[in-house]
Amino acid sequence: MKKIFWLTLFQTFMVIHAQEKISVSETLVGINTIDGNTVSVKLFFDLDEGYRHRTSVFFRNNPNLSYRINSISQQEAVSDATANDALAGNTFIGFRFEAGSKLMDRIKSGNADYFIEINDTIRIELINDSLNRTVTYVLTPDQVKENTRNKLILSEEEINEIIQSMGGEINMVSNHIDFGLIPGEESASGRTEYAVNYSYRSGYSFLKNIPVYFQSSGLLSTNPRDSLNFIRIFPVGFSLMKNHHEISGQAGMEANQVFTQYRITADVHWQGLIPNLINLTYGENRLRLKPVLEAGIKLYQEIENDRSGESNKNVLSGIAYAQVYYYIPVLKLYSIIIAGNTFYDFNKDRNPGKELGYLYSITAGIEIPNSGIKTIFKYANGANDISFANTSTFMIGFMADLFMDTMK
Amino acid sequence: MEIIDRKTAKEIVRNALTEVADFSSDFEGFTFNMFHPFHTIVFLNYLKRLVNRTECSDPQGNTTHEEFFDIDLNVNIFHTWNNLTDCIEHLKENHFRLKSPTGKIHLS
Repeated sequence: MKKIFWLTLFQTFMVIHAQEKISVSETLVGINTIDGNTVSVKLFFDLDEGYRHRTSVFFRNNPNLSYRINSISQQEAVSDATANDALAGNTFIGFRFEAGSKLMDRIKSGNADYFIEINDTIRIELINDSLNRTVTYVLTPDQVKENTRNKLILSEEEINEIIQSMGGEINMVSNHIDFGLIPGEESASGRTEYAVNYSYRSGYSFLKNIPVYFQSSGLLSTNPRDSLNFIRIFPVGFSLMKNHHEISGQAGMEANQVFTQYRITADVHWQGLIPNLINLTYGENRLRLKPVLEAGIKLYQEIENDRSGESNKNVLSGIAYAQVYYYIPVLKLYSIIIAGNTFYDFNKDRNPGKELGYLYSITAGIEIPNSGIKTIFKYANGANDISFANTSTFMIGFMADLFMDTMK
Repeated sequence: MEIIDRKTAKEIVRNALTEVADFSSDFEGFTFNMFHPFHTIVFLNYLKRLVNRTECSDPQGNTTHEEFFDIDLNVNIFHTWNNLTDCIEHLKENHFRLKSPTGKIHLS
């Protein structure tokens, strides 16, 4: 019995050492921020034509594989970089780690001789499906070390994306900054004005995977007294997302650009997709995006306001509001975008006529092949829920790129 | 299945796209130009979920719940896709197998 054991062990040893090492062509470090935050280090194989990695046998062939990040110069600093799972792709294998802030701190600089250490030689089976032929190679710990040493680097952009996504996955797609020009004939001042419309939302890096976020948005311009200008800052927000729905709560302040009006606010809202309401494609195959609807309730306490007379006392009030973004393709080439916000203030000083406020824009566009959708005209009308001052603009024929207009 | 081939990848992308939009026939040429951020995040979440739920087989062709398919997704990757064809190709080329965590079963 003993003889058979040692013979088998010897044969296994000889087979592994007789097998050829697989050639690694590239090492890539990437991140995942959807349904969890992970960092993956992938080693891509140099494969002959027609061959792929036979992933279905990878875990069977390497049942006890384990790995960790190690460092020659800073060995004490890597003990808590835990492995999550190895991964097997058609042209690569990889090592995945949970994206904690300590791990990211270590690998973002890439200057501490970091590398991946594996516990044993990995067996890699390749298959040519058309020839039905398999070949087995090995990937040794030295190869893994050599191909990962000083290559475990994440860009600042990737690290920021992970941090942002820690406050909810929608963070990193919501962030934008748009610069615009308002012609003299359309601006309230009569002069050409420049405007910036921005939104920024990010999680807090010390709150790992707890969806608490910081958020700021605004519309600011070189005419600071434009009644549509605003700034919102919410140091604390909380977001939960499930399927087509997101529920968020946030607290902070809102103001006009010159802070002659500002208030402390707390807001709870739902955002989701609703079924398409209209089809204007008349049989053309166009992508009809479902409308995005947001509805919420906001409480606020005014700190400063610029109303005159009896109504200028600072009030505690509430607002119910709803917003919509609806892209409607028309026929083969045309599009209409409706972005709107409607709101109702419950305070009689702020809303003596008990009226529903609104601010909406309608943009018509044409799809130019290989150049995206260009604006034909845009009409905006209404007031935001901070200034309550009405305004309207109509722009025609400027053929600009359509930009995201959410009225927030 | 042993790997996610192009046909399966296209079906996964079609099902994820159906969650955020309607369309009448082939969708490969559509772009993401007019996606609202909320469309993007719903689409990516469904894409990931559908990859995770794709049936995974062992070398004998039997369905296994000990492993599952997955893919790394993030917003930078999303912005590299010019159209839905790029998304399908990315899924086909970059999916991988993972061992199922103990007690977690990925239902097909």
